[in-house]
Amino acid sequence: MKHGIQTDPENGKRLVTAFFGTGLLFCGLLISVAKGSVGVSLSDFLAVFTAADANQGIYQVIMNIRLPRILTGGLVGMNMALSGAILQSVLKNPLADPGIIGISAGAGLAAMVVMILFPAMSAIIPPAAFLGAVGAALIIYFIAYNGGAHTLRLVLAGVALSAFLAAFMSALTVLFSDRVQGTVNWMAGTLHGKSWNHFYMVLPYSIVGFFGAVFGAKYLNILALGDDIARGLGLQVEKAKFLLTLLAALLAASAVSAVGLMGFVGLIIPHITRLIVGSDNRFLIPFSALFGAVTVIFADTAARTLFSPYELPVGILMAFIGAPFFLYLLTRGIK
Amino acid sequence: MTGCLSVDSLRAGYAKKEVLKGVSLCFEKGRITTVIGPNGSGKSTLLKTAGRLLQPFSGSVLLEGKSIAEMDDKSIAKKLGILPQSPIAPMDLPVHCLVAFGRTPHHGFMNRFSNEDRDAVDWAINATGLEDKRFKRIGQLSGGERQRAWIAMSLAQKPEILLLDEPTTYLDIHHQFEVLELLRRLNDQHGLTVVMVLHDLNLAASFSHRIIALKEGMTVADGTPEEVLCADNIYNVFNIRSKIIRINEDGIEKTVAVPLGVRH
Repeated sequence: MKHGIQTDPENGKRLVTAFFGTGLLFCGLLISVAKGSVGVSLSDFLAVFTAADANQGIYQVIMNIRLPRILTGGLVGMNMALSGAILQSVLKNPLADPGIIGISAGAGLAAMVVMILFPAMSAIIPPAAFLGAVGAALIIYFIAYNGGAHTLRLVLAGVALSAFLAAFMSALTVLFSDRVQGTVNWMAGTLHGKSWNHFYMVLPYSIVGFFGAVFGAKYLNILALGDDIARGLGLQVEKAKFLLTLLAALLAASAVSAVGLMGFVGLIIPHITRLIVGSDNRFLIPFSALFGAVTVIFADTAARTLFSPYELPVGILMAFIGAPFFLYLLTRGIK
Repeated sequence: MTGCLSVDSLRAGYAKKEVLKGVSLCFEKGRITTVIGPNGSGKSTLLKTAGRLLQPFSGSVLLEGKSIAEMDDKSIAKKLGILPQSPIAPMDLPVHCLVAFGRTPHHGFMNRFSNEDRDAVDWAINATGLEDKRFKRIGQLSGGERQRAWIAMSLAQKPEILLLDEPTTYLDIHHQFEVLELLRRLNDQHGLTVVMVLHDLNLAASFSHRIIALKEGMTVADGTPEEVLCADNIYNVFNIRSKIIRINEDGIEKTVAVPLGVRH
């Protein structure tokens, strides 16, 4: 589709957006490293990487506390935004996001069961969350499947399943109240205390998910023309939808297993991105990934510093921003 | 018969409701065939089943003598294009990108857009008279232009047969003619086989070589417009009274049905 890309008048705007977005990402990284209960100046920061006799305290803060937390946040934001962008296209529903259609809840419940019942086996949290997410996706798909996965049924089934799984999670927190220290924060979505282990846990899923989504963009575009047109063009529609949904589940599950139930990133980021770069998934997908990372990094910096010395889970802050935006989209009539 | 699309004792429908109740037809190569009939008579079901968007309950669809159930999706898509009723595209999709989607069946997983693809897209855009709308977005087009853009997408597919479900729905009379004259030109100049569903009997009569009337899932009339459009058939199919008049315009004999009403 080279011809189209070269001559499309939107490309200038996309290029500017790419520069601007990348710039924002670096600003976000720098501000995020500098801000916090221990202030870090630019010279301190540079010294960590250059000078041999760097201040050990600051080195520890940057390398072992802030950087892993920030980078994990970036990956999580990217994965959630990608997951939402894929689901919105596959389900042809602007309200689709992993939180709303039950995929996050499936991942969350599976991860919570492992955390509470098998606290020693934290390594199996991501695969367990993935199974939970895929399980939820499959349940929703088959409930809603009636000679073709009808969009409205799919979303309604997801909402119902979400509520059902959330009830299980609440029950677990009550029944095992002695073991839920971590899980309360986790249910709101937090980046507090994320280490390099979390980063390396999410990274492989992010790489697979990102490239999968970039390759899938072509198919998302064809699906956007409607099932009948896509089938007429020779696409195996049900298979394509199934694989893409699986990819969205993988992305959401990896994010949820690291930081918990962080809502709204998957919903609002693809929408904002669509307003800026348009609905062509070849651009929407990579830009959603970029803006997802930027948003979570900034939101987490704010969550850490706004009410210092208290720290809000970033998921709560995202809900504060995301819910009104969601309502705004509803009143505007989403395109 | 070679080069044609045919259906054999086709039964099809939705969920458990059978809409088509045993239809056998052959749509000849190089002709324009129009299917008419009241709502629920099975016109769309016939078109969708013939275009393998719908699995038949029983019976078969044959493309050049081979059952489409045994052909792979891309091979079918290279021979057979289908446009459902009022398709929807993202409003910000540029026309040339929509048309380029027509090349999908000619691509593998990783193929780049080749010169052949580019030529096919250019040809389709020219054939539909959309040269100056190439970079316009779908949302900026009129209803008629939009329908032409969809037809251009189907043409870029380079099919031999094009199936269209009510290509004139929601269009005013000018745009209806624009779309149908385009289809006639493609049939004339490029030998495109056209099978479509239309509601307007007189448009069907003036643009078709052959008209097939369906009622309650069965074929009730089949022939040239002159043969099918008679007061008896129209009463039988649509349950309305009508008068048939023949006019001679520019040396061409035309059959016009004037509906008179439901009551006797």
